[in-house]
Amino acid sequence: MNNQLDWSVIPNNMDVFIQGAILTLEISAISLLLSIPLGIIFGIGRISRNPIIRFISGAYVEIMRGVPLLVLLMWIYFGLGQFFSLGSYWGSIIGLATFSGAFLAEIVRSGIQAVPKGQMEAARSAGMSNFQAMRFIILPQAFRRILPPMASQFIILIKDSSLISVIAGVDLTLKAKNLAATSFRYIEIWTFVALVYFIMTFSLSLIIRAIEKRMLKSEQ
Amino acid sequence: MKKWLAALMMITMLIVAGCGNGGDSGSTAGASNNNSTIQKVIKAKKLVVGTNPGYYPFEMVDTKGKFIGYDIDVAQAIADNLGVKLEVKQYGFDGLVPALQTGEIDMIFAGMSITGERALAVSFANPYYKTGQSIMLQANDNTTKSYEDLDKKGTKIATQIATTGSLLAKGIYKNAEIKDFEDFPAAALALQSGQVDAVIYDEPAIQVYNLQQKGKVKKMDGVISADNLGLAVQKNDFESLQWLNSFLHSYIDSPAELESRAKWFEKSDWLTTVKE
Repeated sequence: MNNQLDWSVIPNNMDVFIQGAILTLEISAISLLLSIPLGIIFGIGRISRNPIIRFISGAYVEIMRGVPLLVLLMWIYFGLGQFFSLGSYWGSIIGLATFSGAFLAEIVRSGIQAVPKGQMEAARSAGMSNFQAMRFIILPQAFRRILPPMASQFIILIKDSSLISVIAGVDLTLKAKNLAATSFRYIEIWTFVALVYFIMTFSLSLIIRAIEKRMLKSEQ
Repeated sequence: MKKWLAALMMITMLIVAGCGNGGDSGSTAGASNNNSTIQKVIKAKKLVVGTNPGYYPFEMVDTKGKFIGYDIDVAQAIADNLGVKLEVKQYGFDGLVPALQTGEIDMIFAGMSITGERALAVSFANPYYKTGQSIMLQANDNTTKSYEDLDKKGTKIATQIATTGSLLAKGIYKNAEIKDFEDFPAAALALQSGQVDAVIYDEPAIQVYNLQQKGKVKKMDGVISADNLGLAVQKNDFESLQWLNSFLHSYIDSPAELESRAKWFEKSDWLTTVKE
């Protein structure tokens, strides 16, 4: 430890950090938006009455949950990449979205199952179709319950996105790695990078908390 | 108890280091002979070196999980000379310098090219191997004749993050996209799976990879830069540098070194013992 801390590397390379942070936000946001429909479809699929749909959904969830994200990213990029030209950018997004989607599916499933059975029966006996009951009665109630675990999942997604550098995905982490490799100011750079990730994830939790509050109000 | 004390000292040092304003505290570590890495190694009866396997034929992991290669032979010879045991630790290439700086390892044995920037963070012994960057292409690529041919929009070039190849590529290419991978095998795999058009890396590794893949890739003739590889110790550890330089003078071209060089660079039978 004969190296003194020198924080000047941070302001001197602020443009690099900003570029990196924007890329991380962009990749996380697109993956997040793609993972939501995946989570809803497979979450409902998990409790479908059709055994084939149930099996496919279960297999998706279990496989994705069981495989490390690192391996999944490499499969997609080096494996699938031989047949479809995905590139690092879309490879990263597909990897993150399908990975996160599996966890969301479990959250959605538990949310739906937590809505009392009577709700579905009442909706059906009021003349609603299965789809209508799901859309207007069950999902809105489930949504409130799943918001907190979903927020955690989104935060994990943002942090997981730092793994995409294994397939040369350019984000805050890769930019920081490159900067550290030429400036050797590891402690300063990684401390600052951690702070940037924290700002991103903490802002997200504040936003979700605000949504929760609004929903609570609209309920009263 | 000891661990607690060490942790406390680390934190104190960090705070002190952070508060200091560039004064004289940096020079104390290397100046005193008792603090030199060589003395520490002899006292602990163990030499801990850090490496980044995947840099053929300098450092690889064999099928039994053992570290092998030209660099490992050098490290073993050093340990034998000092009469101590050798321990090899594995890091990402970009994690080696911090590992050395924090004292997790005594020396870096990773075919690290000597550069001015790196020499600001660590100190290098005299070069022990001379090489250069070369270019690996897809086997069916008949249009790329020189490194300039790759500088086109849409061309992707793979390198390993934090290596001289990566820095060189970013310097010479204005239009091509440089993609940094975690290690050479990943960059090479990206080439073989058609994700990139070329790989820029140290020549010996590309030569060995080419040999191993038997015509699935091809190497462009010649090198595009010169690299001198050096062993790194903590910055300004002069006693260790002096000792390493003396050792290298006695080791290079010795029968043991010639045998090691022939084994890793001229023969290829060791390839079968290496993890794919």
